[in-house]
Amino acid sequence: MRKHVSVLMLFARRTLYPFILLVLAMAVVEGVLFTIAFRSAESSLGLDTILYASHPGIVFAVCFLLLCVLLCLTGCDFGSKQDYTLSRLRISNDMTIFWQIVHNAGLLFLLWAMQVGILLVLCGVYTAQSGQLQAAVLVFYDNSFLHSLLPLAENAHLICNLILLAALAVGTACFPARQRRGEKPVAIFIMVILCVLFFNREMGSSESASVIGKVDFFLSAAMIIIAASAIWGIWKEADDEALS
Amino acid sequence: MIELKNLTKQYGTTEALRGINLSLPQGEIIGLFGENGAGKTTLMKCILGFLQYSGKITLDGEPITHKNIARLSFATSEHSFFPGLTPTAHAEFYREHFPRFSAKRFHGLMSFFELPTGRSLRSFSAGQKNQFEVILALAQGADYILMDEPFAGNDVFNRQDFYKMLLGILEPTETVLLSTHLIEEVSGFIGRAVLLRKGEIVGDVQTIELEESGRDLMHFVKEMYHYRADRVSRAIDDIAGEEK
Repeated sequence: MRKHVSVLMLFARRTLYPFILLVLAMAVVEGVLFTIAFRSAESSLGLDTILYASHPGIVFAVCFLLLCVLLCLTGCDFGSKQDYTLSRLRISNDMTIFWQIVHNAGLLFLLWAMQVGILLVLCGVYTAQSGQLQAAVLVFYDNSFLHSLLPLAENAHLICNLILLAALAVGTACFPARQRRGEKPVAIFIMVILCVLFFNREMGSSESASVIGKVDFFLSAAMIIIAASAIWGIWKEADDEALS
Repeated sequence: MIELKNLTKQYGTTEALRGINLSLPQGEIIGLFGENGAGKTTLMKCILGFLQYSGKITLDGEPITHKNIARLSFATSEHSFFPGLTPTAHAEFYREHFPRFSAKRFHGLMSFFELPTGRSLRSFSAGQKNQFEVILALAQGADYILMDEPFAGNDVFNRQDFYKMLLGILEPTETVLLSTHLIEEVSGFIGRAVLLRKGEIVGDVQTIELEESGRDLMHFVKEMYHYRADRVSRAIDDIAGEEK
């Protein structure tokens, strides 16, 4: 098991500090923007309006893009042919990619969790100042970004978010693996564009169809197909270059 | 013993290796020589399983797979380490994946070359990176150490130190296959010379045979390459004659 953990740590060593910096920057920027919006707002303004004015969705989108860049670059061949070493490990290439997917999924989940945590703290600040205790819960239904982030009442959104996370983890892990083989991986670019364009979904959009909303369905299906094609590309390449 | 039988490698329509038959017994230091494009690097990459090929490569009668690949190490001027990691992190990682990794040899060579252990490889100079690449290959605990132009960018004193160090630390069972253009420099260090030309072996000789016959390695190489000593003077005469 230690050899598997060492591969996981190989990726974690390279992303730990940049990730911490990214989360800190996200917290600071969102905190500052929220404070400015809160102070300049009239006392009658609701939490949803203040959050809308402080643009946490844009800050999160930028941080999400930066994290995707960081994950894609982790394991790329820049200044060294790391594949020569990765191909000679006691675990297979598939396992190496699997552990990178696990690592990437962990960081994407942490970014999501940190974003939810930051927003809860900001909501807590508002409720403490305004005395409107229910505002923090209600805003997760009123604000489309917050609702997309933490869809409390819509399982379809929640499932879609899980699919996005898994697909992005696969896409970002396949990027360096294919780059090391001299290919130009494009899957992750399409995934990121889709996420940025369609992540923000209004509440109730999943009820437009009986089981799962059209946007959720389209987004989930597209992400699964792209992730599957990225993995297939890796396996196909592995077949071509397999050790004799 | 590594055995190559009828090894052929094609890049598109170009034949990089043509029916190579070669045995590399344990305990030899073998120089692999040839002009640019002769197939030296391709030969090594085929042995390591980085490239597809036709023919047969075996290690003690078995095909080279993930099960026995740890018996081979590789030092290349392209580098195969992880630039974002420190030498200490590399040692920890290698210990998990190469059961015979020698921490004693690793730290001994790190001290000898006065390389810092706590700085990321990215901050090393080109010469230091080459030294570290070779240190990793030597410390891995492999029976067969393949080196492809490992000293490109290192000064002559540094290289001489390394040859002496290598002769001092190699175990009798360790084999070195050293690809280089520095024929005269390594002539006193190798025990056998293999010459490649246009993907074919054109010479394979023990250096002691050369000594006994009163020839040196450089003469042998020129002989095998049908090198015409008057080639340059004739070209100069032609060019100068035309101008006059």
